[in-house]
Amino acid sequence: MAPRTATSVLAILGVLVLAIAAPFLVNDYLFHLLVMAVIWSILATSLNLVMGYTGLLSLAHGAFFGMGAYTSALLVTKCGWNFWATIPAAMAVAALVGVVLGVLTLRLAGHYFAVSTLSFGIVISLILEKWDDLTEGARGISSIPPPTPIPLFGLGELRFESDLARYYLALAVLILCLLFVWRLVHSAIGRALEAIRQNELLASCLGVNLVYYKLLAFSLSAAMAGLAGVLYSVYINYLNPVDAGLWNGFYAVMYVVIGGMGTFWGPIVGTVFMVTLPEFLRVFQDYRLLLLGILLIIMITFLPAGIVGGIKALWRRGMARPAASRP
Amino acid sequence: MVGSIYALIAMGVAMIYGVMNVPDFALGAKAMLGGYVAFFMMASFHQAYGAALAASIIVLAIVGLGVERWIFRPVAKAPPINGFISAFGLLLVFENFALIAFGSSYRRILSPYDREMINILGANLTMQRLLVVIIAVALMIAMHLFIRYTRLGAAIRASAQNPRGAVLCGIHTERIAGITMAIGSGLAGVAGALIGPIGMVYPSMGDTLIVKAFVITILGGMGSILGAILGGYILGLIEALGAMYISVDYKDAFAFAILVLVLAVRPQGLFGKA
Amino acid sequence: MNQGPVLVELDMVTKAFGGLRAVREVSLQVNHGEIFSVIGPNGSGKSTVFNLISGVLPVTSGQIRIFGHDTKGLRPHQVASLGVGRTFQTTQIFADKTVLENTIVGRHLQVKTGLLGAQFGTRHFRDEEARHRVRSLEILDVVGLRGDADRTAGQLPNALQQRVAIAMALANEPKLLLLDEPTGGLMEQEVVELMRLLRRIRDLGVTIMLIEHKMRLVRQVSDRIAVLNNGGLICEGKPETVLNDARVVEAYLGTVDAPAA
Repeated sequence: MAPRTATSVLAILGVLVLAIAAPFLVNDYLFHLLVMAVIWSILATSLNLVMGYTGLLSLAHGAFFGMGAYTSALLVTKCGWNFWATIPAAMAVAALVGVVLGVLTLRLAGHYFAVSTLSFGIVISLILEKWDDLTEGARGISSIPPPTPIPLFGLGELRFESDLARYYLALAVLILCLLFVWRLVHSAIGRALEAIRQNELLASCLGVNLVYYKLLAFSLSAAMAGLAGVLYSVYINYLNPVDAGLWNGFYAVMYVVIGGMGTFWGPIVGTVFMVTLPEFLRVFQDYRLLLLGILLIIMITFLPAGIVGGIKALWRRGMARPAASRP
Repeated sequence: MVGSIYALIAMGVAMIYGVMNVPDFALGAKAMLGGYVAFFMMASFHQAYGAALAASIIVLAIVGLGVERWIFRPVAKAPPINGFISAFGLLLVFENFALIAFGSSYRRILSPYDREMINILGANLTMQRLLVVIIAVALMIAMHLFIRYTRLGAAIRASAQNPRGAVLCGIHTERIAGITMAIGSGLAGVAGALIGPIGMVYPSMGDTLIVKAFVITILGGMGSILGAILGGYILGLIEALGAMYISVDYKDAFAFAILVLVLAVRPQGLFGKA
Repeated sequence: MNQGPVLVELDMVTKAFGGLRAVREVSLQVNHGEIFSVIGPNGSGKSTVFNLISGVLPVTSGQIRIFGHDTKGLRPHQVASLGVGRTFQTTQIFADKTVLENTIVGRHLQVKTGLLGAQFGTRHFRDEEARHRVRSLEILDVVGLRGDADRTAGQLPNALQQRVAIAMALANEPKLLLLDEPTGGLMEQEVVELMRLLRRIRDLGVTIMLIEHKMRLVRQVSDRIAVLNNGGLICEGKPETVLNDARVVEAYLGTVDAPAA
């Protein structure tokens, strides 16, 4: 993480101001992309916890996303819950599913683990699709209401009917999630996770309970992914098993890789970059996925540390040179 | 019959993983390309089905060589997750290339064998289905003989068991990797060409194929060719039975549910080495 | 030497890998406060014994007791929590982190604040982090790396990387330290410094088990020695006795590190 210099603080503030002002600076379509980018950034950040810091490639995060989305949507539309109450419920459900997956798969090595998560994700996706009675299956859940208004003591209500309000909600959640991850990473838990990624044997002999920490990372990550799903459901107001399904997870993997696995800002950089890039190459609309695939291969071959990693390396080299050129 | 297709692709996955230690996630897409090659051979070049099959093997083998050389070899030294992601990127490239170049409509390969029906043990099958099994089995036997009894086969086995040792014996492991990938890709290509007349050819046909092939290779133990073959047929059988007796809807889920459960109990797969 | 309570006890411990018995019915005891060396030709099972003690490998038969606890079924992190630290034959450290960061990771089990404390940045959390930092620097003092605290561990020369590994193991305030060939790749002068370090650690109250090849070091620093050959214990006792024992000499015959060296 960049040192706490005046530059980095200013940079972060600058980005924040930009993010808050953004809706007024772009057209409707770009705004929509922006909101999605924020929601997907939350998903990517959650995935980074497991992938970047703990070193486990999970292809199931789309399923956690979907479970969070469906739990919230169903509780609101079928049981009349207050939206805000569904958030902890959805996160708990996602975390629970994450724990189940973890227990089943954490003993597995590398590829086995990745494919297992994929399989698990596919099973969940299929269940969401086929269990018509509960989830409305392929028809999807429509007319999901926006978040319930919050009464502000004496000042009326905070209403979320407008896209703008929901954008700021998502942004606020993203910031909270980032704070959470920041604190986590800069604690003994974060150190333990990174140790696990780099050298499990060493970590274990230093006293790190591998299974416990992997499960912890997994459940926290799943809960966050579920949270992203909840935000998705109230923004788009319509859910179906495909849109809220595995592909979100796959994209998240790519965004994290391109942005920089295991770096703090990587997931966001990767997501924003990949979501907005096609817009500047509008003429290549059809070729979007093709280019994504090519970009992925190029990135992983030549720049495995992602965009953020590349920037850090350049920075380090830039820092080193002045000293070297002094006689 | 479906088992044969699974088995062919699973064999490719197992071989490639065994030698190169990379799970080639794009193999399903290669099967899809093989299907398209066969389709165009017949529709555009008016070749016989046999030639179409041969073409699918050859073209995909060449593709495989290229993929090994330019996609996988550069990341061979990096952590395995990189190879996985490369393969995934490749899958995107192949699939979307096909989508753009050939359109998303389903194409039917008109195999001459699809019209005749024969009666085996009381069941009516099209010749095509029988052909799939025959060719698949023939290929498997050929593979087995190749690996057991030829010098090249021995070199492949050596590279799989002990890459560094193989180098010390004067085996060009990189060339072996290329050849293995070519063989694996060729197998996938012909699988696509074989299933074409029955299941039709379309850009995303490789998706479920590859995931199930992975499930199979993992269940059989990655790198174990026998496990891949057996697994392919077992899965085909389970799916057919499951569709009949349990539920058609969840047919696809069986493979995955089984995988997760088996691995939870036996992390190295049924035939794998720990 | 202290004939204090027994720290580690191996009781007819056997480890078999399929048909191969890497450790055969080894019984030995390590006493509190001593430096106990395990020597033997290559492949005699020394590292396997360490792996058994630290919980990396399960015992096939026999029993291992650490501080009186039977360690059957314990995973490495649980053994670590009993107060055991170890290093590995091939130095294992986190190469891209600084020396200090490496040491702080080693303090994992000593950290008491949990998730919530970290999240809310409570006074308790911050104080603890500061305390661990201070303590880690003290440990770096002991191993002589205080000045290199902020250097990236992977860029240090071999000898210093070894010390980082030792610092990481010490960070857990262990009562027992297992060092697997700490002189691997070290030059003459560095070996002498390591000997001093071992004595410093022993004087701090940590019991040391040492796997070693360099006989001079073993002779000068050990309180007691055990000799393994082909997985079996062939001799155990004070250095003078063991190193002149005929069986020991025979076991080493033909190898470069003969006891007389």
